[in-house]
Amino acid sequence: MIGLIIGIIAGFNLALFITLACIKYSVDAGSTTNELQDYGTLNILYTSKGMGTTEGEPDTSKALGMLESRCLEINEAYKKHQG
Amino acid sequence: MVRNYKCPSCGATMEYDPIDEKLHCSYCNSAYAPEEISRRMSTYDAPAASHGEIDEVRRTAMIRVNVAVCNSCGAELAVNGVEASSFCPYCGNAAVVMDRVEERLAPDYMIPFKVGQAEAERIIRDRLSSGFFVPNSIKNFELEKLRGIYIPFWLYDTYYGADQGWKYTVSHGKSSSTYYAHMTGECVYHHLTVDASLAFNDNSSQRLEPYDMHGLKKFDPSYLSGFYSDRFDVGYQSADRIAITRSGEMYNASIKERIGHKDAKLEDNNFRTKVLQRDYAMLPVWFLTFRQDDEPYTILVNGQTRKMVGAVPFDKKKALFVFLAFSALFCLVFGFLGGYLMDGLWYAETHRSRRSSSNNDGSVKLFLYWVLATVFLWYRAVKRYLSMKKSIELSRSRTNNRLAKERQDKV
Repeated sequence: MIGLIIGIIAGFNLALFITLACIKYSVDAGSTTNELQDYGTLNILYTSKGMGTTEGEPDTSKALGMLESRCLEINEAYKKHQG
Repeated sequence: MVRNYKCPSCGATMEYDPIDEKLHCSYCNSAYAPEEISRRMSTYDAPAASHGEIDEVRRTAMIRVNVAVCNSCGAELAVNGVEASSFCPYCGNAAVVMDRVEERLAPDYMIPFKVGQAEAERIIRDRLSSGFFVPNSIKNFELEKLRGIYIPFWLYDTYYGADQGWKYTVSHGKSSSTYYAHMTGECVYHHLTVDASLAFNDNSSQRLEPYDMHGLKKFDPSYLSGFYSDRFDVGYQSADRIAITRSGEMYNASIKERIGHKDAKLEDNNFRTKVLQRDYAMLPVWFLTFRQDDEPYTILVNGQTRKMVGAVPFDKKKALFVFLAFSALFCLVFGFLGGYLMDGLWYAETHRSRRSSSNNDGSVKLFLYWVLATVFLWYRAVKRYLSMKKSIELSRSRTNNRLAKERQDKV
């Protein structure tokens, strides 16, 4: 008897799940999630993976200094290109 | 945005046709390329520029537009061509009146409509008619409520560089280890789009993406003939923040993908970012507005890529019928399986445990699996329902009003 009740509840759950899936597919037109587009190409300058910190990692202030100068360099190149 | 384009042959009004990318005269059937009409009519009022002032002139060029105002939601649209506006595509109310003629800033770039009205209608009809749960009243929508609108966008080129610490977990059977990743990188993003219209909600505009930026052209007002156009009312200061935020989100998503672990969490983020360039552009969108239970809804189609965005309310009677049919089928099958197999297993194990004093582990495990499966199904069902509800809510035109007001308050 318990098995029968459990089976019927499982049947209702599955019916609800499948009905909702069919409704969503039927009425939700087009993309439903915000797609992040790939507008640019990622340029990795440094990477390290491990259980802890790795020796020889650049410290943050040095890395930020490097990014700062890269940013200015690219900005200048843009200005020249526009000019 | 320019009021009317007259046919050089007969003087009748011409409209742009996205199919052959020409302006057509409805009276004498002549067809002209937009560039040719622009050369002949010169309605683009750019002041004469010296060599070094070209960029400045481009940004201060103005065009004259006919402005129609919606008395219901306050949206302002430029009506290009002879058609008098009868309803507001944003809120669906027929409260639009011609208000004034004004001068507006000309965009730098635009993507002309590639999808004509007939094709936009076919895309929407095909999709809606294939939906079993879509109410018949929505399937047979009125064509007069399909409008092509040029939506203003800011196009950004941005730099985003960051020195980041990420943390993720790798499972080895029953144990797991925590790993750390130190990533320093940079990315220059090109033509990142930021919706510049307060009346058009950000979620909808982002769902319409991507646009193919290879189709970007220098602004030519003759492409606007026969379409509506919205004006930008989100200044670049606000748009800058959105562009930088989106750059950061895209950068983090790319780094996460590079790490290769979905559960990777950003622990430490030190970044440098800069707006390298911003341009003002108009991008094409088809708006279909219809009413269901006295509530206006809007379905959108990307006027360049044919991508359709929006959700419609479902037919509740059909949904109930399908649910009951599935329930009858599955209850029968699972009731039988549960009644005979599970009860049988339970009975056999109880019998055996009496003789050998062992536990009835098999049926307890089966019961636990059932509970887990039920929880999982409910979780997925609720998540699916909420996602669908959000999509329907976004298509509800009054949501556009609310979001527009929220953004107006923030700006």
